[in-house]
Parts: sequence; C-alpha cells; structure tokens
Amino acid sequence: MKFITLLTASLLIVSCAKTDLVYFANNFETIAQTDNAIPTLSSRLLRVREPGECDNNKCPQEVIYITVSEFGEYPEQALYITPKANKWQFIEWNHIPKLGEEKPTIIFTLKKTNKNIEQKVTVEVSLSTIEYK
Amino acid sequence: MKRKILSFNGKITFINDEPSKPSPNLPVSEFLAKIIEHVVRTTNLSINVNSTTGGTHSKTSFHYYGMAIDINLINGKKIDDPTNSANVKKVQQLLSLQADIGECFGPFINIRKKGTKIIQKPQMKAKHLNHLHISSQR
Repeated sequence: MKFITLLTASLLIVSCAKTDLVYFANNFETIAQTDNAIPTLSSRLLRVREPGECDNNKCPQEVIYITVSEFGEYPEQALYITPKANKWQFIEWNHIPKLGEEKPTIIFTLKKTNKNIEQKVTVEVSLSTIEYK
Repeated sequence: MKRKILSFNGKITFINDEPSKPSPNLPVSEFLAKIIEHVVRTTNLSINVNSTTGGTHSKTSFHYYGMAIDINLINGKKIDDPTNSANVKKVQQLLSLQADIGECFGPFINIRKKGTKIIQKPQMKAKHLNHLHISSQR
C-alpha cells in the first residue's frame, strides 16, 4: 500500500532539473505588465537579481526579462533579457499598439543605475526585435 | 462595437456542445459577425456556433475579446463527418478570403492573417479536425 502511494506521488510530483529555470521561477519579481485592454501585443517585465550580497563594493546585479506576446489561440511569443545593471526600474509605458497597426511595437521607459549613475533607457520591442534608445 | 450574430431564420444556431453550459449567443465584434453572416448568406449552408466568449481557450485567445467563435456543425453535420467535407471546405475557403479574418483553423485551411499578410499554420490542423476556430482582426 505504502509502495503504491509513493509510486503515485512520484508520478504526480516532478522536479524541474533546469537550474536556470528553478532560480528564475523562485526569484523573479513582476515589475510591470501591459493591461491587455486591446488584444494586439502584451508584455511583462520580470526583474531577477543575482544571488548573494554586496561585498567589497561589488553588489549582485539585476536583469529584466521582457516577455512579448501577440494574441490569438496559438500566439507567437518572444523573450528578451536586458544587460546587467546594479538596479533596473520601470518608469512608464509610452506606446501600446492599436488594432490594425502594420508593425505592432511596445515602447516603454526604464531607469538603469550603475555605480550610482542613473540613466533612462527607452525600449522598443516587437515579436522579432528589441532596441534600446 | 459588439453585437449578436443574426440568426438568418435559424440558419445560424448557437447550441453549446456542453448542454449544461450557457448559450453562446453573445455579442461579438461586428466585424466577426459580418464575416459569419456573409459566409452563411453566400453558401446558403447552416452553421452551429458552439462557442463565442465562453469556454476554455488559450490565455491570449481572441474568444475573451468577442473576436473569435467556434463552429462544430455545418448543415447539421459534424465538421469531421466525411460526408460533410465539401461543405466544410467551401465554408473555410470563403472564410479565409475575408479581409478582416484573423484566424481560420480547421481540417482544410489553417491560416493566421495579420493585416494583409497571410501566415500558413499547418500545425493547427490536428487540433481543429472536429471544429472550426474563426477570429477577426478587429
């Protein structure tokens, strides 16, 4: 009986061995997402900080995973990762595409901090490209 | 702007394939309604819409925006009934030609249209042998 219970449990609980995915799933923080009122393109910004603590003026760095998805039953989707920085913050959405736009693109502003120097970065993403301005 | 699809004296029915669930006769995008009505008017074939904004679909589905429907019967016969192939093909061919069509998935044609660009999606066929999934672009 105990064997059967254990066997059943082992069939239901499967551990994910992909180390990067385990770290990502346990540590990401959603810092912004489009409201999806218009079904054109949607995006989520997920911030992940490296493990550890500041030591000798060296601190764990952050990246933002930028998801992009179209709408539909089987949507085309993309995922981008920003370069590392000491700190990444979301400022605002600048443009969400309207229905019928020929080349739908989402534009938003981030703030990057590196060695106490702040810099605003405008990001333009679509399903095929990402540009930092 | 959303509105209900006209019934054309019973040519278009709205019977949920899960009888305990609510009727799918709900407002949809007027562009989608026009597409469906045009196809029924032109082919003179009857259809049953078994899903509009209800049911379970992909998280990003146009169903949730009133921009997609599923059709499970044409002329009273199931989509996967071999004796119904000619009718199903005729309906899919006409649907796929409409300017505002977004997705047309079924046993014979599987396309995703963005603007005027048409993308072939042959991998959708296997999941659409017993129903048509039709969406509009607006």
